[in-house]
Amino acid sequence: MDVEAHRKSFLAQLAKAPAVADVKPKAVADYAASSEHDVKALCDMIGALTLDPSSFRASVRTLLDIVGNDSLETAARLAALGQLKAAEFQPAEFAEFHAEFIALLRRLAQSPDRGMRVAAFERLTLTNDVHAQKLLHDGLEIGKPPVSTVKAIQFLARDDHGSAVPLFRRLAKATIGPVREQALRALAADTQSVALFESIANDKAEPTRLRQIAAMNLKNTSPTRFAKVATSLALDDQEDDGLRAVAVSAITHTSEVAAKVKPEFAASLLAVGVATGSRVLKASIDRYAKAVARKKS
Amino acid sequence: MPQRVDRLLDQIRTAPEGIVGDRLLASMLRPALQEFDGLSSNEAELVRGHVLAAFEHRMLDAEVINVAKEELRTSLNPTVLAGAALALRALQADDPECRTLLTGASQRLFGRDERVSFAARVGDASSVRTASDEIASTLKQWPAQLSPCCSGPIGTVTAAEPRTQTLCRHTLGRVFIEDQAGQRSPVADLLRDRTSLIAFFYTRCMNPAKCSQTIYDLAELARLAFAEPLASQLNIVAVSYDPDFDEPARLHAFGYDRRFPFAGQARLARCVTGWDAMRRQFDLQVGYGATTVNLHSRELFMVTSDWRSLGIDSEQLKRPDHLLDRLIRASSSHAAADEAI
Amino acid sequence: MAPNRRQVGVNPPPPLSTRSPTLPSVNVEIRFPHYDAQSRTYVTWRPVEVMLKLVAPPAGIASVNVEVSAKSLALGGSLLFATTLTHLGAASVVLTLPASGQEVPVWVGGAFPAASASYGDVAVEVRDTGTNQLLGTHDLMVRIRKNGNSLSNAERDRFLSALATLNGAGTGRYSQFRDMHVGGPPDIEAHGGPGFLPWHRVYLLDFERELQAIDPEVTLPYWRFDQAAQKIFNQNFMGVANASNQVQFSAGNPLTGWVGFGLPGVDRSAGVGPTTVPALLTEAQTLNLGALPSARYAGFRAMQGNPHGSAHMSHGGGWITNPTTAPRDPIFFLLHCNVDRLWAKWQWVHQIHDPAKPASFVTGAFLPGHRLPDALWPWCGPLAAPRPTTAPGLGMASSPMTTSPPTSPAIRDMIDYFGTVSGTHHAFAYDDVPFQI
Repeated sequence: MDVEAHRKSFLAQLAKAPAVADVKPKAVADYAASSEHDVKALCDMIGALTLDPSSFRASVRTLLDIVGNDSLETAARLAALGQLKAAEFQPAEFAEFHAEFIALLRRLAQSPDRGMRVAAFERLTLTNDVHAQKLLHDGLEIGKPPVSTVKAIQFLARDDHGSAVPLFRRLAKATIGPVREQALRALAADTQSVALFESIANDKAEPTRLRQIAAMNLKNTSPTRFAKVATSLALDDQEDDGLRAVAVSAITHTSEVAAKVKPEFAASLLAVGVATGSRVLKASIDRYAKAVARKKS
Repeated sequence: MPQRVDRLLDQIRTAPEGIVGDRLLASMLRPALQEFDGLSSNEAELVRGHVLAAFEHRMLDAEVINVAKEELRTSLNPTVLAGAALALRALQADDPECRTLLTGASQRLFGRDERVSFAARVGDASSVRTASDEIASTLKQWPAQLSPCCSGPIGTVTAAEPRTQTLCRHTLGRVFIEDQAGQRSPVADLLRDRTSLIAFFYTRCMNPAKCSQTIYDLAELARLAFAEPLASQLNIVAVSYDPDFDEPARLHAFGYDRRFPFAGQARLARCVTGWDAMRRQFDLQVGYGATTVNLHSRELFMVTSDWRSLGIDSEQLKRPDHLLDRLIRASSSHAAADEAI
Repeated sequence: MAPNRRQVGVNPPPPLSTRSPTLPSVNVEIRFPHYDAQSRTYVTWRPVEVMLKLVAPPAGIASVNVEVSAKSLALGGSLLFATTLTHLGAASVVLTLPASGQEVPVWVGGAFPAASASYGDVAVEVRDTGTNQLLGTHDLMVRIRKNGNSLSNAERDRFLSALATLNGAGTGRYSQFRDMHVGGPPDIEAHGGPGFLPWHRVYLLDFERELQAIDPEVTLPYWRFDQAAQKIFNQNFMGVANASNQVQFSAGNPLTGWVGFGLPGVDRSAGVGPTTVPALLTEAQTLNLGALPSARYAGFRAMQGNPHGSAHMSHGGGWITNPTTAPRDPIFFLLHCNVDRLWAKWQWVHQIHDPAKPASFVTGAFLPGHRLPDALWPWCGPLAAPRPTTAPGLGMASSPMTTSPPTSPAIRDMIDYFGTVSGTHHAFAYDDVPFQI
């Protein structure tokens, strides 16, 4: 290939690329304030606001005003919130706005607008905001969380130093369906739930998805007990092949677990790999075999 | 838990005037306080910030000042930092160390500042003062000229007394630790007939200025010790506050990433039995939430061959050569260092 | 003394090339500049200097004329040859090898855009020009970072397996990369100024070398975020998020055991699916940033906001949408690989590789860690507050294929990754960014 010709050709293509829309913060603010604005057009303008150094401050100020304007359409406010979260990836420039931004989100966590509430909690719980966590936890305790129960659990579970684990334990035992599943996921680091994980992972009557979650939780909390469960699962021809594949994969890629399996496991597993008709299980076993071979060499 | 937070904040707000209230609030600064059991880290820190802030109009003693300084030194939490700044506002004279710590805390807040309020309920959005504002206000009240030493409302502030205690070898004989290589031994065997430096930490610590820094600094000291023949009998061990989670593989990964020179005398470990007894023996300042640590101090101890334990300011790890000298001297004399380090 | 960074095979004796079958006394030894512990060698588009010499020629021969060329398997890599460092290599070159056994150099690089799919799918061949007899052959791999949406299943699976091993369910070396990219002072080091692009270049290279220590044939793929990526966002690769922000993987996907932080699993919203084209600047629009009236880094670095920040946010929610939590999600590495590719492509299109040229970076009152001569944290070790006082990791990972960049790289060391002016290269390249001097 003629690299220089390729470069020139590419430059010519670049010259034809559509220009980046030059949307000024004032234009967005004025349009948002106009009573006749079109929501989609406003969202497009918000999305086109640049966050380059020259207009950063003005853009962020405009976005904060839009997000904080309770009379504006939710879609526009969410679009502005997305842009603000993108602006956080420039922390030096965003630093002067951080406190105001967090305060705004905390207010929106109690907004009557459900979409804004969810978005506020989504952002606040990523950094374990205690105010947001309190609202979620209080709400779950009385059965009236500010977002759906599943979402509330998911958001609270982000904090591995949180206080909601007793609540998750209760929900994992007392509920069914998506709430139970989410509560089980939320217990992933709970060493006091090891017995629960083992029980679900071994119980063929439980849905496969729940068993998989329980198995991964067990791996996280007790590699020794997981090694026993996983090896048994992997070698059991009566078990779901997908679950077996997950178990083998976990053994392959977790050295703590691999170190705890019995020496004869490898040979038994390779025999399963030869005999099985399941592509996914065979692929998992192949990866295991390669990992073992790599370790030996 | 959140309702318990509200009750704790009410307790702070309604603490009686005078020395009774001062003592009650000071007692709430101990991380191991039972009232904090089960709280999340953020809840515990929120309460801690409020406790500190309450001292703005109260009598400060050395312990409270030292807590405030330690938080300014290491905390990343805006509420705690604002509370510490408010507490030190009660100091009537400039303290150069306070000034340095306040400035450092303000720099650490860059990019993570938040509005804080100590007068209202959790979640109140009406406050407009940030943690940086509170720090700036405290700094502003002192004249630009530095004056020597410091004095608070109660007179000259002295350094907190080092914690000393005699450990029980029989109790520690029933406490077993497991190190990063999976080797188990009773703590009593570890400590017998030698001088040891014991730090406490945990791998899930969210504040790099605490546990990560501790292990980093301990690793540096261990490397110096290896190069020093006189230090050959020293033990350098860090024990996890989080024994259920900090299995050997996690201990190893944590230490390896911080260049910890694993060897017979330098280890990271967890208790496999008797952790509560260990906590009591060292009177550890650590509290627990639902799954792991919620609050802890930075804790470092020198234990000599006569089973005496002396608490050491963790800042001493920043001068590892100096600290190593002290350890060697203590080891040579077979006596506990009884001067404050 | 800090424990040594893992050194993978520092130039063990190279393998002898194949002995000629019909003239057993004549063969040509082909020696690449670097080998790994398995005696394998890897190149990118950037040529490396290879030494050829006759071994045990018969008496009476003063020299042998040879043709050096490549033999490629179908869909394998291809090579170019030249007698100097140039992008204008040819499919073959003729050399004269003296009977004295004196080494003769030849420059060998991958022939853009023909990258390898696996080791040994391309080989250097040396033949006698007169008889066409094969005198020597040497397997290698043209190892290139590729579009994740174009990977073969085998390439994808190797990458995932290496990635999962590095993650080690949370206790692997991956955790140090997560801990480098957290909130507070470290965030300022990575994102607080124009050092953003060089910082992430080192970060990715360090990460990729750790992957290559597990499987040397692996490179970091990129997520071309201005296009739909059906093969990336499916359960066999980076997974598909459900309504509860849980990313679903197929049963055999090694990422089923991923532990980003604390809890197993990946927390990501369903913002980007198999057919999604995120709303952000296109590649062309990105490469035009800072291009007028003449290309300058000062303008290009605005890409930190859009498309970089926009790409993070295109997922809608989850770890990837916040700087503190983003590296917990494995898609982070593919996202940033594309960010780096865009910078590399911008450099190539505008021919800006020399750190001594003002256009290649920017001067000004920036925070420490964001000026051209500044060493990059954490590879420089702990610093004094308010900068980070700890430094996760053990310094820049070494590579058996190059000595560059240094263990503690500075910003200026990360600009000329192809070694167009510096003479040393970083041993990585992209499938759509050629080498050009």
